[in-house]
Amino acid sequence: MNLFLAVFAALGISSSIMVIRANNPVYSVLYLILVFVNVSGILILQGLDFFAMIFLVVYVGAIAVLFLFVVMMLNIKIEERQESMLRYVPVGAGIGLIFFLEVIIALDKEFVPLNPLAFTSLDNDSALIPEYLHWGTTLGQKTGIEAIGQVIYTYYFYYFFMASFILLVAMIGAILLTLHNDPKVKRQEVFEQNAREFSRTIQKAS
Amino acid sequence: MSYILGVLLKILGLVVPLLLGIAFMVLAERKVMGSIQRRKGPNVVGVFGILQPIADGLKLMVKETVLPSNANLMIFLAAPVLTFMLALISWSVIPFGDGLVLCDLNIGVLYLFAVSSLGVYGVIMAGWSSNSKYAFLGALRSTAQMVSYEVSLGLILISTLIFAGSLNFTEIVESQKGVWFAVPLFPLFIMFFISCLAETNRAPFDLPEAEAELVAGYNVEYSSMAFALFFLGEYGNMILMCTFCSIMFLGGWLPLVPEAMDFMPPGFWLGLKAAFFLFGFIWVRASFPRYRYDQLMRLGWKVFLPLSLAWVFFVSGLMIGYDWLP
Amino acid sequence: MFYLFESDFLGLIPETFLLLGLSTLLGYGVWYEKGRESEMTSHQLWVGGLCLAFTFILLCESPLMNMILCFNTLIIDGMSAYLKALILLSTLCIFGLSFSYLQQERIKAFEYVILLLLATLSLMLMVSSYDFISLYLAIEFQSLGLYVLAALKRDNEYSTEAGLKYFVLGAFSSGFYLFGASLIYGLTGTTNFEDLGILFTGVGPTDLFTQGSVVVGLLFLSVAFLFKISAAPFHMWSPDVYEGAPTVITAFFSVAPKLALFGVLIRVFYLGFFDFLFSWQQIFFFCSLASMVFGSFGALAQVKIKRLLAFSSIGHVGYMLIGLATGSLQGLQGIFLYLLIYLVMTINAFSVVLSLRTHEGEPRFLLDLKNLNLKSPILALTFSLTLFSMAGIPPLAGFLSKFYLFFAALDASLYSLAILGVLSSVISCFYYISIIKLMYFHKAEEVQLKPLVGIDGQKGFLLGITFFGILFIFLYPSPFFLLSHAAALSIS
Repeated sequence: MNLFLAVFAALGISSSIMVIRANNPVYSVLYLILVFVNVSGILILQGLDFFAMIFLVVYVGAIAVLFLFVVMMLNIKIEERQESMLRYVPVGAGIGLIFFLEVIIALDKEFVPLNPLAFTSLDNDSALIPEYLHWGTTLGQKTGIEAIGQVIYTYYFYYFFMASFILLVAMIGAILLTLHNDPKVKRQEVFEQNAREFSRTIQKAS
Repeated sequence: MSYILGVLLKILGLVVPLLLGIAFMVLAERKVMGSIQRRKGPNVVGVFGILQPIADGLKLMVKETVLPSNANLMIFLAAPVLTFMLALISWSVIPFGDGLVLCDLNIGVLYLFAVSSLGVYGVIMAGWSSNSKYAFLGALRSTAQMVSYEVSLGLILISTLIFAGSLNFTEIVESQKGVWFAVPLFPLFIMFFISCLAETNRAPFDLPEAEAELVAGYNVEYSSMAFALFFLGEYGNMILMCTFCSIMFLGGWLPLVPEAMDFMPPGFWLGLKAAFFLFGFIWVRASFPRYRYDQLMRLGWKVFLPLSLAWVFFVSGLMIGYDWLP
Repeated sequence: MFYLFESDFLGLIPETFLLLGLSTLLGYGVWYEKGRESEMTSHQLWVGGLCLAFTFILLCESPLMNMILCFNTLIIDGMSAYLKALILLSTLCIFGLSFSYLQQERIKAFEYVILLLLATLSLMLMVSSYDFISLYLAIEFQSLGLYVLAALKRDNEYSTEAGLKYFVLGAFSSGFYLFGASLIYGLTGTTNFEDLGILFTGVGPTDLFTQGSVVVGLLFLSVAFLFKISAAPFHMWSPDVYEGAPTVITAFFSVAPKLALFGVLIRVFYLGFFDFLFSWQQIFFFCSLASMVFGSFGALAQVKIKRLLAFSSIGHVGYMLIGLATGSLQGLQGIFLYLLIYLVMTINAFSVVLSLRTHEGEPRFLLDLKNLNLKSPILALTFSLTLFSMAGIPPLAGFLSKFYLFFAALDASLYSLAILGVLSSVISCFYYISIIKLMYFHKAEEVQLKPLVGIDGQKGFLLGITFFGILFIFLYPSPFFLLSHAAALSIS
C-alpha cells in the first residue's frame, strides 16, 4: 500500500508542476486531469471509495471537460508565451517556502491530544483537557456512501439545501449572461409541432 | 503469486470472449441490418459470413497507419488506446452469475458511471489532436452529446438505486428477484435505453460521426490499427451499455421463470437479455432517421432531464411515504 | 424522523418566506415573460419590494430571539436580527433606486430582481451562520449572484471587466478562506464557532507552537474576509469593479455585503477566536490603518465619480475595522452604529449620483458634477451635506458614528488608530470639499448646461428620507444607540 501511495503522490505532484510549466494550455488541462486521477487514487487508498468515484465523475468528467472545451476553442498561439519563467523563481520560491513552513508548523499538531498518556509532556493546563470518547472502539460497519447518506439528509440537510441554492443561482446567472433572445430569429416550437392534428390543419375557407 | 496468476486468468477469461463478442457483433449488425433492408448481409467470406470479422481485422492490421503531419502525436495515439482501455475495464464489475464477477465493488454502479464519464476524453483528445476542423467539430459535438445524456442516465439510475438500496451490482440483481425493475419503472426503462443509444453515439443520435455529415467525425484522421481500436472501443461500449441496461432493468442473470431452468450454464440469461438489447440497437439504427444536433440536445436537456428528475421525485416520495425503502 | 428539526423552520420563517416569494417571482417571470419584457422588470420590482417588506415584518415580529438552528449550523440572536433588518432595508432602497435606472438603461432582464433577492437571502443566511461550512456556502451563494449582477450589461466592456475581476478575486479569496478553515479544522476537529470558542478557552499565552498553528489558519481566514470587504491592502479590485458595474449594483455592493461580512467577522473573531485577540488585533490594526490611509489618499487622485465613491467606502471600512480591532463591546456597538449611518449616507450618495443623469447618459467623470448648483440647487445641497457627513463634520450623522468609534478605540488604548482616523478624516475632507467646490463655485463659462433628466418618485423619496436622517440623527440618536447596544450585547 505504501508503494501505491508513493506512486500516486509522486505522479500527482509532478503532474501539478507540469500544469504550470507546460507551454501548451491544452497540455496543462490534461495534466490537471492527471492530478485529479491521482488524487482519486489516493482517496481510494484512504478507504473513501465514494469520494474517489465522485472526484472522477464531477471533476474529471464535468469540470475538466468544461475547461478543455474553453481552452481548445480559444486557440491560444503558443509562440506568444515566450516569457521566461526564471523571473518568478525568487519570489515564487519565497512564497512557496512560506506556505510550506506554515503547513509544516500546523502538520503534526494536535490541539486535543489523542492519547491521554501524553499529558505527562504538558506541564500546565492539564485540567483543561476534556474527557472524550475513543471512537475507534465504537465502530460499526457501514459503506462510505451509506454513512454519508445517513448524515447529510438528516443532520446536515441545511448544507444540502444551500448547495442546491447555489446551483439555482449558477443556472440563472448562466442564462442571464448568455441567452440571446433575438425576436427576429425564427425558431421551431417542437411541442407545437407535435401537438398539431392533421384533421384540423386544412380547413375549408367558405 | 498464484493469486496474481488467478486474477490474470480471470481477466483473460473476461477479455478474450469479450473481444470475440465484439468482433461478431460487427458481423451481426451487418447481417441484421441487411435482413431489415431485405437483403443478405455479408455471406461471401465464410459459411454465413462467419469469417467476415476476421477478414476485417486482418485488413485493418495490414493497412498502412497514416499519421497526420501536424497532429499532436502523443495525444493522437493515446486517444484510441484510452477509449479501448476504458471499454475493457468497465467489464470488471459486471456479474455474470451468482458470485461470477471479477471485482464485487460496493460502488459498482458509480464505478461504471465514472468510467463512462472518462470515455468522453478519448473522443475529445482524438478530435483535437487530429488537427482537422471536421474532426474537432465532430469531437466537440460528440462530447457535448455524451455529457448531456450522462445527466439523464445518472438520474434514471438513481431511481432504480432507490429501489435496490445499494450500488453493488450483485445486490441490485438480488433485489430484482421479486420483480424485475422494468415492470414498475417501465417509462424509465425506455428512457434508459434511449439514453444509452445517445451515450454511445449510436443511431439515431450519431450525427457527430455520421458518414454523410462531418466526414465520420472525430475519427476521420485515423486509419488501420488506431481506427480498429476506436471501432472495438465503440462496440465494446455498446455491448457494455446493453449489459448494464439488462442488469439494471431486466434482472441481470435471473432466469425468466425461477428454478425452472437451472440447468442452463451461468451467464446464459444475461447474454440472452443483452442480445435482446443489442438487437434493439441494430433495429433502431435501421429504422429511424437521424436527429439533428439541436433536436438531440433539446431532447436531452428539455425532455429527458425534467422527466427523469420528476421520476426521482416520484419514486423517492413514494418510497419514503409508504416506508418501502430497502 | 419527520419531527427531527421541526422548530428549525419556525426560526427561519423570514428566510423561508423570502425564498418562496422569489421562487414565485421566478416562475411568474419565466412563464409570462414572452412579449411583455418592458413591464416585467417594474412588476417584479414592486412585488419583490413587497416581498422584502413582508420579510422585514416577519423578522421584526419574530418571537424567537435566541436560537441555534439546524444542528448547530445556524444561530439567531440580536446581532443577526439587527444586521438582517439593515440588509433588508438596503435591498429595499436598491429596489427603489432601480425603477428608473432599469428603464433608462433599457435593462429588460427580470432576473435582475431574482438575483438581488437571492443575494439578500444569502446575506441573511450568512449573518446567521455558526459553522465554517455553512458560512462558506452562504459566501459562495452571495458571491455568485453578485458576480452575475456585476456583469449584467453584456455589451459594455466595463461591466464585463468588472464581473470578471470580481469573480477572479472572489474565487481567490474563497480559496484562502477554505485553506484557513481547513487548517483550523485539522487542528481542532470542529468547525462550529461556539465549539471553537469553548475549545480555545485560556489558550492564548500558552504553548507557542499550538498557538502558532492556529494563528496561521486565522491569518488565512482574516485575509480572505479582508479581501471580501475590500480593506487595504486587499482593496485593488474594488475601484475597478465599482466603476464597471451598473450604478445600482454598485450601490448594492457598497452596502449589503459589508453589512453581512462585518457580522461574519464579529462572529468568527469574537465568538470563535476571542482568545487569540492579541494576534488578530494586530492584523486588523494594520489593515485599518492601511484602509484609512489608502482610502483617503487614493481618492485624491480620482477623476471618476464611482471610483471616488469606491475609495471613500474603503476609507469607511477602515473606520469600521477600528471598532473590530478594539475587542470590546463598545467597539462592537460603534461598528453597528457606523453600519447604520454608513447605509444612510451611501444610499443618499448613490441616489444623488443616479439623479445626475442627462440626455446623453449617466455621469462618469467628476467634472460632470460641475455647476450642479445652477442645474438643481436642492440636489447640490443634499450632496454637499452628505459629503460633509462622510467627512465626519458635526452636527451631521457621520460625526456621531466616527465619534463613537474613536472613543471605543481610545478606551482600548489604540491611540494611533484614533489619531490616524482623525487625520485621514481631515484628508478626506479635502476631496469632499473639492467636489463641493465643483458643484458650487465652478466658473459657468459654457453656453448651456445640460439639463438633468427628472427624478422619479421612489428616488426622490429615498433622497428625502436619507437626507432627513443625515441631518437629524445627531439630534435624536437614542433609538439607534439602543438598537446597536442590544445588538452588541448579544455577543457578550
